[in-house]
Amino acid sequence: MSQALELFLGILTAFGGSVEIGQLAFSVNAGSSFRYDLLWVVALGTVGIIVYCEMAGRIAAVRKQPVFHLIRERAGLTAGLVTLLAANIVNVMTCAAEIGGVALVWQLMQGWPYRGLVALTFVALVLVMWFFSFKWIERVFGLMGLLLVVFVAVAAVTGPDWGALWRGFVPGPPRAPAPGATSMLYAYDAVALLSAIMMPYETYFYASGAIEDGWKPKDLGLNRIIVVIGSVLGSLLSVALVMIGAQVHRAHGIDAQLPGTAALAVADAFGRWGLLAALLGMIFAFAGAAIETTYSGAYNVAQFFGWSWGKFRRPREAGRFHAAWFALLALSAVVIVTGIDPVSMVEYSIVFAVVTLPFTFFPVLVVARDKRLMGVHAIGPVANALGWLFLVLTTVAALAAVPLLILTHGGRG
Amino acid sequence: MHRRAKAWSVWIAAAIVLAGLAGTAVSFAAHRRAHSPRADPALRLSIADLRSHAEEGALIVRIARAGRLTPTFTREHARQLARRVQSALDELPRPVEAAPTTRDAAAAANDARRARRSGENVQRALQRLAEAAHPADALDATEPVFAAAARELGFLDAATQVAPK
Repeated sequence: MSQALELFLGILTAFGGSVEIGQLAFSVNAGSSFRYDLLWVVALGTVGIIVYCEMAGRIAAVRKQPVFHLIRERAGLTAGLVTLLAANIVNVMTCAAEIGGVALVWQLMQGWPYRGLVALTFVALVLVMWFFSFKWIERVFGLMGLLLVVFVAVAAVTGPDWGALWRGFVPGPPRAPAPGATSMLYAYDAVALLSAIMMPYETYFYASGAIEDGWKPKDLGLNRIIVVIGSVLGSLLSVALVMIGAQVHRAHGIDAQLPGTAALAVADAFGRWGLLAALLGMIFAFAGAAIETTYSGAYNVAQFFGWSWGKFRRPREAGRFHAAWFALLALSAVVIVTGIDPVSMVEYSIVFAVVTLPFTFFPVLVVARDKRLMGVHAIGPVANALGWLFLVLTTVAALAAVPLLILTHGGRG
Repeated sequence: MHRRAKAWSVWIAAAIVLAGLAGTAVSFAAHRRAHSPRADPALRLSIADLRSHAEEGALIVRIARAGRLTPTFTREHARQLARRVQSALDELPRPVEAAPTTRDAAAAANDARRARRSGENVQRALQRLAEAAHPADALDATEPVFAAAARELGFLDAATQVAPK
C-alpha cells in the first residue's frame, strides 16, 4: 500500500478514535453551561496535545525511548514509581469508564442488562486485543468511530450563531453563562476540558506505537503531519459537541449526564439512521479508547521496569507485558461492574489526569530540547517556547484541578 | 538534571497536595458561612438535576412522537434516566421531624418536599416509558407529567439559585 494511502488512513483513524466518553460529556456540558465561551480551551488543548505528542514521537523516533522509560531515568525510582502509580490509576479509571460507556450505549441499541453487557464488552475487548493486529485495531475502531462525524453535521444544521462561535475562540470570562453556572464552574470546565483533550494516555500510547512501528529520524516529518492533522480533526469533533451543547441541550435546559442524551440531538436532526450512526460511532470510539488506555497502562509498567514489551511480541517473548494489559483490563471491568456511574468515573479520571500531566510532560520536554541527547533533531525555538508555556499551563491546571473539583461539588456547580 | 527534575517533581507534588487541602478548607468554610438552608448545595444541585431530567423526559417524548427514536432506545434511555432521577432524589435533603425554626428553613423544607414530589412523578413517567411494550403508547400519558414537573422544578431551581447572595 502506498505511503500516501497509509497516511490518509492513519489520519482518518486518528480522527475517528479521538473522542472518548469524557470528552463527549465535558464538551456537551461546556456548551450547555457556557455556550461557545469555552471553545478557546479546545483550541488551546489541541495545541497542547500537538506539542506533547510531537515531542514524545520525536524522542521515540530518534532515541527509541518511550515516556515511562524517560520518567524513570529523569525522576528516579521513587518519584517515578509514584508517577507510574498515579498514571495507571488514571488509566484504569478511564478504561473502566469507557467499558461502562460501551455497555450503556450497547444497552440503548439492544436492551440487554447493563452488567451482562459490561461482561460482554470485556470479553470482546480481550478477543480483539489478543487476535487483532495493531493495524486492524486502528482501522476497525478508528474508521467505525468516524461515524461520529454525524455530530459535526448536527452542529452545522442546528443553527449555529457563527459570530458568537468565533468569539468563543478568544479567551475571556464567561459571556453567556446558563442560570446557576458560576465563574468557579467556568474555571472547572476549562481545566476539565483541557485535560480531556490532553489526556496523557494518548501520548504514552502514541510514543510506544512509534517505537513498535520502528520509526526512525526520517519519520519526523510523518510524526508532525499525523500529530497536527489528527489532533486538529479530532478537536473538530470536540468543537461540534460544544456547539451541540450550546444549540440543542442549552435550549432545552438539559445537562448531558448520559451518552444517550448527546445522541438525542442527532435523532432529532437526522432520525433513526442518524441515531444508529451516533450510537455505533460512540461504541467504537469508546471501545477504541478502552483499548488505548489498557495498552498504555501495560506499556507504562513494562517500560518503567525494563520488561520486554510490545503488541508485536508474542506472549512467550513478552509475557509480563501481555499479562499486564489483561490484568489492567480485568481490573477496569471489575471496577465498573460494581455499578459505579461511568460518567462520574470519567469526570474524576479527567481531573486526576491533569494532576499527573506536568509530571510526565516535564521529562519529555527536557529530553526533546536537549541537543546533547537529540543532536540535530532537538526541538527548535518555537516548539521549545510552546513546551515551556504548556508546562506552566499544565502545572497551573494541576494545582487548580482538585480545589475546583471540591469547590464546584464535583463539577456540578 | 536528574536532581533538578526530582526536586521539581517533589515541589509540584507538595503544592498539589496543599492546593487540595486548601480547596477542602475553603469549601468547608464557605459551607459554614452559608447560613441560608436554601443555599444548601444538596438542595440546589438536586433540584437542578431533577429539572434537567424532567426537561430531557419531555424532549424524549417529543422526538419519539416524531418517530425518530427506536422503541429500544426510548425504553432503555428512559430506564437509564430513571436511575439518574433516583440518584438526585437520594441527594435531596430529607424532611426533619422537628418543625423548621426559621422562615428560610421552612422555605427550604417546602422546596425539598415539592422537588421530591415532582422528581417522583418524573421517575414514574420514565419507568412507564421503560416498561411499556410499545413506548409510543405511553407518550400521551407521560407528556403532561414531564411538562408539569419541568415547570415546577424550573421554578424551584430559580428560587434556590437566587437564594445565596
